[in-house]
Amino acid sequence: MTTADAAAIAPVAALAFGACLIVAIDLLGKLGSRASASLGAIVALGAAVIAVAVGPGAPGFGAMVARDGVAVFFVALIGTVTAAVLVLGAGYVTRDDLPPGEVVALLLFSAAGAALMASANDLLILFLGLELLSLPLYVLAGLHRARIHGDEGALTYFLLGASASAVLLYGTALLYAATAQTTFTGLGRSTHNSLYLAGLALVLGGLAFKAALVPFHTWAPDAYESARTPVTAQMAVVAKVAAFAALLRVIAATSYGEAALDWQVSLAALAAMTIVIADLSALGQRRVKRLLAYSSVSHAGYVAIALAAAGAAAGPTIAFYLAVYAALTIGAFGVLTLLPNDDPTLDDLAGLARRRPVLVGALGVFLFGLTGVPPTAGFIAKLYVFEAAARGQLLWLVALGVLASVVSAAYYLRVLLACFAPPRLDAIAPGRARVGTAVVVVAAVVVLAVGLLPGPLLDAARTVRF
Amino acid sequence: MTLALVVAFPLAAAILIALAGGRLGRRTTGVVASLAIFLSFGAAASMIATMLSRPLIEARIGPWLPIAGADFALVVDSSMLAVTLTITGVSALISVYSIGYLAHDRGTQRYFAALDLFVAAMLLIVLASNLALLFAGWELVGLCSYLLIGHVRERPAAGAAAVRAFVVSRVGDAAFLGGILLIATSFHTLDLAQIAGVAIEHGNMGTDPLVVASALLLVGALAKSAQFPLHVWLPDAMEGPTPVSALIQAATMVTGGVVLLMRMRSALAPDVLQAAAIIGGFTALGAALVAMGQRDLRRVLAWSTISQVGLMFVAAGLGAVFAARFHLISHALFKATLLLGSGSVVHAASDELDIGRLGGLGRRMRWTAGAFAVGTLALAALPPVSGFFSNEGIAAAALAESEPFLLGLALVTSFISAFYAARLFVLVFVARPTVEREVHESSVVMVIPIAILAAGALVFGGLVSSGVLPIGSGRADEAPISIVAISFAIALAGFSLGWLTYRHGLERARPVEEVTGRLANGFGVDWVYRVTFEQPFTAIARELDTGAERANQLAIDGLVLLVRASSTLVRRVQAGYVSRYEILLIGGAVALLAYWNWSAR
Amino acid sequence: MPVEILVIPLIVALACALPIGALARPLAVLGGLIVAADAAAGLWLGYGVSSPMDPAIGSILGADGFSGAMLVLTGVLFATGAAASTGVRSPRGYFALWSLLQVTVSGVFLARDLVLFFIFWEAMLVPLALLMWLWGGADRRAATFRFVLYTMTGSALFLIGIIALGVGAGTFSIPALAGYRLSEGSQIAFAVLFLAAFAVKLPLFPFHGWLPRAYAAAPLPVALVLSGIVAKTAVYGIARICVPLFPLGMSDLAPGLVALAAVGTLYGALLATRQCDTRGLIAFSSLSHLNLIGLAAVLGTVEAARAVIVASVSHGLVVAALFLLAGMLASRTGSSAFATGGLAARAPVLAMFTTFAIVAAIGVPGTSGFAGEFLVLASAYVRFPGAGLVATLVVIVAAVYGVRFLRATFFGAGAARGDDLSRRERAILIPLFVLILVVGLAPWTLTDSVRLVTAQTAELHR
Repeated sequence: MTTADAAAIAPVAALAFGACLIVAIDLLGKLGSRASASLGAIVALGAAVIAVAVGPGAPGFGAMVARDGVAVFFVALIGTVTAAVLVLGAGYVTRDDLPPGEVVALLLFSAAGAALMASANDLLILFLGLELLSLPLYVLAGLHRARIHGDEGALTYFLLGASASAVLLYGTALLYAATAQTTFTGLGRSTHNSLYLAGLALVLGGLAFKAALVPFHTWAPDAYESARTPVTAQMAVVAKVAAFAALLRVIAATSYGEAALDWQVSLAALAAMTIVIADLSALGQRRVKRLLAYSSVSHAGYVAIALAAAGAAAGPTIAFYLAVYAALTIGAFGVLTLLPNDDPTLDDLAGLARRRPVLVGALGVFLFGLTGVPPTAGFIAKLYVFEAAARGQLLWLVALGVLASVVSAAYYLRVLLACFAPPRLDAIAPGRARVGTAVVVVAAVVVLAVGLLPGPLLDAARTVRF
Repeated sequence: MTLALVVAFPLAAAILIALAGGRLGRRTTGVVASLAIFLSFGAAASMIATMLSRPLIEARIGPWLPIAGADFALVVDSSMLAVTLTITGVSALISVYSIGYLAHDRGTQRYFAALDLFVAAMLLIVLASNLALLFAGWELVGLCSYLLIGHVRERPAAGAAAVRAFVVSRVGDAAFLGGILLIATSFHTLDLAQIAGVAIEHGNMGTDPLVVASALLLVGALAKSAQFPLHVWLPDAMEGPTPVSALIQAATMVTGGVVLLMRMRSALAPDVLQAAAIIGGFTALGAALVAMGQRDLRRVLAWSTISQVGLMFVAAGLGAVFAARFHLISHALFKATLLLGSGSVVHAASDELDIGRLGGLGRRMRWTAGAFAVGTLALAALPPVSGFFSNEGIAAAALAESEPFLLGLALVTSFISAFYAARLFVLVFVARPTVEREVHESSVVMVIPIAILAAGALVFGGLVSSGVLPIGSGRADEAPISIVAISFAIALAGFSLGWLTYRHGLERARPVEEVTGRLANGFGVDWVYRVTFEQPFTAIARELDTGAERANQLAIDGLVLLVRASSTLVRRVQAGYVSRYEILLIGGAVALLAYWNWSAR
Repeated sequence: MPVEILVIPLIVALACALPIGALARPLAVLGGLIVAADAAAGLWLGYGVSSPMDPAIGSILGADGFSGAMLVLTGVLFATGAAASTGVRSPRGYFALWSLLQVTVSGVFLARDLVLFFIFWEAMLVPLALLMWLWGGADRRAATFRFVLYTMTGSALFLIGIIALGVGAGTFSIPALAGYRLSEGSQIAFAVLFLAAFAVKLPLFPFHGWLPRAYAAAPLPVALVLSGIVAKTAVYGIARICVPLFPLGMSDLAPGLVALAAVGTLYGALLATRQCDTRGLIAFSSLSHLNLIGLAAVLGTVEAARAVIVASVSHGLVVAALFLLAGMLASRTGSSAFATGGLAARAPVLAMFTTFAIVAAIGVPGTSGFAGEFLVLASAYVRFPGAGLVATLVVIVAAVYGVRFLRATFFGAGAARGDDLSRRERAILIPLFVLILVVGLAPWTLTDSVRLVTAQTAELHR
């Protein structure tokens, strides 16, 4: 193992080792939920710090694991998000009497998988990462000892996820058959034959599943709703970031040279379908998590717009968008984790404004951000996506996206305004989770700060180039 | 600057009274208001000497609107100075009279503030050096008439009359505004002197936009001067306090249209001026016919005003500016006499307005009866009262312009006017009273103004006609002796006929009344106005409200419903069946696959 | 210079986070007044262009005579509205949002960059929606949704236009874009996209679907600024963005827009004659006035620009007075429905003040309403005498709705309840009336200071 190998795999390794460590400590002597969560968060943040500190450089393992700007940015993002999820999940684990060590370890494992996906420069590594990401999530989704419904959602998630993995694997096999290699760099040098194209299409389908693009999104609402809210946040953010990072690499590998492929039409079609269907589906939802599930599907559509318009050159735009999306989504789900009800309806939010004004203020920032209203970062992120689309001559997608944002305002606004309804008498008062509130407030501040001064994040996102 | 003071005095008084609120005291308010108008009269009078050496006096006070010519600037020549003196003089007397008339009114402050503003606004119409400022006066006159007609707010009829007066007045204002703006686009200025200069320089300005503009200005004049078909507001306007009617009909407002025609005549299209004369002639005759059958004391006078102003339109339309001005002033004097006199009668007879139920007041109210008699003679155009001379001037003008038709109209009108003037006077003051009542002469503060006005009406015509009293530039057309004789004969015939018919009261004249009473509804113009203006207006507004606006609202609701329906449709897919999800997943992958292979070909 | 116009209300908003309770209202009033004074000083001393904000977007703030006049109006109206916001629930939250609204509205007038303009433009919705929803009347739910979704749809098209234009031209700076040459066809296309936002927010007939309910349901001070100044951001957008950026396109679109505006002027006034509710009356009379202002805004001449400024300021002042009076009437009769009459006997000063406000609203000379209306119509007649004549008819219809309201409220037999105006109520109204008269008698105080900028606009137009 060379230094390059070690440097390339360091964050992933840190996450995985951290997970093992926690399991071990947990076995030796019971760790408290707070202690294990803190430890996990340190590990996750540590992985992010490692990624940034090591910085871009030569790839490792015979160019199978990349260590470029793309990997650094996304791994750092995944680490940070996972840390936030862990902190948010701490109080949760105590309340629901879940095994704290296992939950933290599983979350760290999934983060390791996501980080591996983001760094994968080879189809097999990609598949490895995908499985490492997915399997812990399947388990976490089913972590309800007393709920049947939860198991059903987890089962759906598992069945569909397995199918998607199969699709990806099948695509990998076809590509290997067509090109006799599995590295991404090899894909770009290949010729177009049916086998090759079919393989690519299946890989795209597999990744679109993880990114929850329509029509591969069907798992998302059920899984999001049934899983525990911190787990939902992990699914919604980490899995999506990893999937888009991988997709970006595949596209980058196949859009240059003689055998350059035109990804635009298929991605634009996916994006359009995603945005329309997701926004329409979200409109009538009264369950907040389901609503946010569709919202996250719809945001995948916006990322796909940028991908369709600029291909691999959309790296900075996508990175910026995903970072903002991560803050918004973690924040929104974070608020939900602080509520007494795990799967709240709009009516359950009644009275929140009076009881927890700070939380509602933060929720307002997130929801306006998800809608794309200035001065939140959500607006800037969408603006860059639309700008990219306009440059890519996809004005119709700009129009569609902008109008869909209007529709989305209808359902986001309803969530916020539900908090201002008069409180119900039988409602359980939310507990005071200081740490969780702090995370949420930090996320809100980040959203506003990036909205007002997008420069620093934009500079960071500019490193996402090939 | 004296010129500016003419307008400034009443304006300042209006503001002062409005701001002072009730603090000024009822009587003081009236005194301040009257004093301001007297001061204005004095300022105007002091300019007579200056006027002898200069044709024009100008005063530029400051800029107003950022449009060429639209400044605060006044101008006066000898003709308009005469009109100014008339307005301020008559208004001052009406104001003094009001002190007595409204001695027990609760809203004195409102009343006098509006009255002073009214006078100031009317002076703007006469003195403004540009159309924008003139229009300001034009609109403010309408506003003040609204405030004053609706002064007694507890009376529903007063409210209705005020609304109608304002709305009809605004119909004219809208037309007037359109005319002004068309002129502004053609002439690139609103300054009257410059407009006149350009118009004279380029000869006949009968171009299309100018014809339209002139026609619109004429419509404005018709509305303000209560000429057919926009006269409908004036008879109702009598619902206001009687001094207000005097103010509107004698001193201000209704003469506004005539003043406009006089001041704008060089810029107006000749056809439009011709039309003004013809409309004036018909209005004069028609209104006189209607006046014959009125039972309400004040409505007789209102219709007679419409008729007399019609005669002024005839003169102004024919270009006989002097004759128009002469009649304007003489009418102001005698109509103010009549209206204030009628106010005293109404005051004395505890608000009885039906001339059939009055009568025999002459002996109890000698001063009022005397003044009323002068006014009646003037209205009947009998010598030696002013109405005779000014009416004769109009007839002479029609003859000089060889308009036999208009001459005929004027003469017939004069006959009828004499007839109903006699009828009015006889029924109120001479005939035996049908109802016995306690009647007393009005207070001194009310009698003196009437007396002064009556005296003016008595001598004014003779003084002007004999050249002793100048009323500005121009001179009367020399009336042939035949015309003088004929018009005198006609007036005398009408007056005698009226006197004889109604000598013994209304009951005895029942056959005549049956004929004239048919005309009393104003040829159904009131009805026509309702059908052609009020009803369509409300109908359009209603249709828009229930039709267009509802449709607009429904369109949005429809859009929302559409989105909601498609949302329901889409959500059907997400029903929780794994098999269906699998189909979608595989289907999507297959579609991608198919597309890639197809597009590669 | 212009930065403090954003900073002052922002400080007020932040101060509301502190436990200041009863101080919030005077603070908000003070904030508005300082901004008004500051902007007025800037208006007569001349404005410069100020600091760049963030190089990433390349946005800059700046003010000229046009925005200066609008900023003065912003300060005045926000101070007035705050002064009228007595007894609101949770005052700190209310005045925080209120001041944020002021920041965003001022920002629209200050932005010299399309993206920044859009940011402020869209950010206005957030405090507006929350204020409407949380402090609004009975119909607030539907009204807020309609308002937000309708205006966002317009903004969406606007954003498409901004992105397409900025990407094509390589800059978002408004002055730079004014020098950018576009073909006539694309000018029309961009003008339509931009106008979508402005037409909805103005609202230009027939895009006023949100207006009646929003005016009825919003809390009174919010309705006041919504009509008085938020609508003016649309006017500003048309006159200062659409016209200089797309002179040919606007010139081609002008006939249609002028026709719509002329019809809308009349339409609003006609519907106002049908209202039996003061809020409804103000809503539709505002629709009428705003369409008239819009008529001039699309013309693009120097005269029209002057007319737009005078008419905008005038409408802001008049509608503020009307809303305040509507509130005072409602507090006496218990509802915003027309009183059953006879109020004049009990409250003569209220009657006088209301009459004055109506007189100004229907454009009687001497008041600002006339100056604005006259200048707008005068500029319209030069190119579109036909539409001008149609719009002139509003003089009649306005008289109908004005006196109809006065008659219903004040005439007739004496009312049972209702005291006259209190000292405090007079103190809020009188400054507005003074301003109405000042603008009516000396509109050149507003237009002289913008001579420079209108001349520039005209230059661009050529």
